[in-house]
Amino acid sequence: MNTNDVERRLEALAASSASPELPPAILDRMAQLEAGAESALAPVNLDATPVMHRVRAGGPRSRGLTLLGVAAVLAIFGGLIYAGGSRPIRKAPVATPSLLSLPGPTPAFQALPQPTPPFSLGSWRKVQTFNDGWNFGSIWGGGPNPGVWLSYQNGEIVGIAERYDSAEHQQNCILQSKDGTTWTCSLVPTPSGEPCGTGPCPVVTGLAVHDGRWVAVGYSSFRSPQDESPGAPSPDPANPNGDVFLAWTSPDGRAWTEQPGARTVQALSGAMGIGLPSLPTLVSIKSGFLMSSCYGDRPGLWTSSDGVSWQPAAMTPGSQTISCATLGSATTAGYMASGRCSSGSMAYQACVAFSTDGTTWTTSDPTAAASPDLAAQLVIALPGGPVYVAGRWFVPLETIQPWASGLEYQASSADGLHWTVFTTNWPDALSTEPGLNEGDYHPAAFTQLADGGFWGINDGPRLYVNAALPSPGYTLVPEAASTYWSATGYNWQRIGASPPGWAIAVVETPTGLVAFMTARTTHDDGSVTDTTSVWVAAKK
Amino acid sequence: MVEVQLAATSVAEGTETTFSAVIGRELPGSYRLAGYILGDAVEAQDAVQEALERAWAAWPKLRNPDAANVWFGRILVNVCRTRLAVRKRTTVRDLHEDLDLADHSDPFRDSLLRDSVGRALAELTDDQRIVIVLRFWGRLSMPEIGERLGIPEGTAKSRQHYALETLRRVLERDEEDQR
Repeated sequence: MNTNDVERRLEALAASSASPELPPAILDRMAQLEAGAESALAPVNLDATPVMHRVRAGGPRSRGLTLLGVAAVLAIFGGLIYAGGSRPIRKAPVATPSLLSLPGPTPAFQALPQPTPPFSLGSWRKVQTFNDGWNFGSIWGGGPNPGVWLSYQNGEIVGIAERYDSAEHQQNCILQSKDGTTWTCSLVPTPSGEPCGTGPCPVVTGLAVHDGRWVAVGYSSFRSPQDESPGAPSPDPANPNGDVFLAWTSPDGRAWTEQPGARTVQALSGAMGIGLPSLPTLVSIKSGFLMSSCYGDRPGLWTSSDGVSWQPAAMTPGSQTISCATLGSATTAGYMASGRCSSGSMAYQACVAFSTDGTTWTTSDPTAAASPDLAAQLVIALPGGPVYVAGRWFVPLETIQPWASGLEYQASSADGLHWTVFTTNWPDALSTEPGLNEGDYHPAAFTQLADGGFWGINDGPRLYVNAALPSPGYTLVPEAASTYWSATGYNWQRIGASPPGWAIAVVETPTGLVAFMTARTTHDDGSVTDTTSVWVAAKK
Repeated sequence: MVEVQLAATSVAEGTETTFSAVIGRELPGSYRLAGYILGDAVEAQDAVQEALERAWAAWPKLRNPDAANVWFGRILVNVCRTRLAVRKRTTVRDLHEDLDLADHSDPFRDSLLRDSVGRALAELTDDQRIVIVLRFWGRLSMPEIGERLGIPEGTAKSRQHYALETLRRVLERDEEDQR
């Protein structure tokens, strides 16, 4: 049995499950609410009066529910958002009577820069098919599980791959290729001396090369997931699976050694243990290595000279400690990360950190550039990383209450420290299907952030809807996929066709693009075979 | 079906959008989702009513009725998550057994219990169960689930991944036990 079988059984069960008629009591309750009769939670106008003063008092039951209602109102309106699936980020309360309204004045509109693609692309051609019985990633949920992450470092294509055989045995390997045609897959050793728990073991999330020293980082579940039975201690919400940080080193990218001394590092690379990241979690910097981490309120940026001994990144005086960080662009202009500032006056507030060298960081709050009223409503859209376009950093912002936002907000900065907030809209560069908008498109594979922008291969809209359950408006057409380029990572410009199959990784090299594509063959007995091929397209 | 005359409450001047019109059409689907998240029809009814009350309290400030379905769905999921958490902290005594009502029929529970994969949902964490129900019973895409839960799409995918792995292990264990 594999997870595809589980999916099929869930689909069958859901399709045959009962759909009981809506109990009349629910409709009655809605009618009572609208009629204003005996409303436990009457609508509360918070525009001009503090919450507690406007809630109507009542009998004992009514008061109890009213307090619950106040709590609910505060929870809904008080600025709770989730970042990276982690604990909510609470915007610092601001003494404003217009907490629930969209405050003015509205910042000026500013168009986002739209650089043109740096080159055109030739036709795609297949240069390699992996047929040793191991597949890179798997297809589940109607789309690929992107088990490959590629980057161009040290003069070659390097990557991290999870491979599976037909029995779902897993291998983790480091990929290397000079030209996209010939590849080596060097196994990352399983951690020694510790039994694997019930989670993936291990997961490699970052790879970087510095001065001839190769370092990979990841995590593994040595401990069983926290006991959630009644009466059990509350699990650590920052690390519910009991994951342990791991680091491996290699002199050449081929012979890898796990470094047990790194297991005590209080970091979890990767975004909340998702696995292979869409953004880099480990990069080479002048002094060694820089790593992002998301592990509760623990530091989110770490540095190391050797990849084994790690220290929280130094912060300039007055800066907060940034936690649950996501690295953005690593450019010649410096490094930028977004996360949350979890100490001092900016407790639990989304923030960004900037460093010219990756070693010493300065935090700032881009939303503070807005008027106080508006700043109280804005938060950084996490966990997306800041981007660097046309000489400026851009950080997407969102309003605390989604229904209060008819505008798109951005903050931008030329130096990574001083910000302006403006309203904008994403240029309509993507031709969408009727009934869909840009938000419905999700690049299946895209390159690491770099000065030149991104390259992506899109599998079509509604990527993760299961192909076995087609329904109106849900289409899965890998054959209609395209190759896109984006300067920002948000709006995409179509450049040309894509290779056939499901895209699981793509990387830009000095001469072109290299993509991993997986195709699925369904046999007469219902079994499936996934085959991964490498395709290249030359720059023109 | 009970017909209910619902008052017309405009969200914004010049629109015909009402609480009952916008939220009312979400109720059947919401009740079904709550039912399979909680596995209990009575609790599902309570959860939907609680979500209704919270939504009603916040309704006057809803600026974008087009997003009301996502907004209400998020409220409902939060209510269900809280109820699941409270359930774990509370010592539950099976009243059905005490009152000899073991044959009491519950459409949601019965649907789940008739299949081993439905029974296996009990082995998932609350967050994993919610993602699975939204995905398979709600037929939401992963981006939509992320939006509904207020979490990144990647986190939603991760939860689904771990949930499917857990279900696979449970089903394999059960099959082994039966041999």
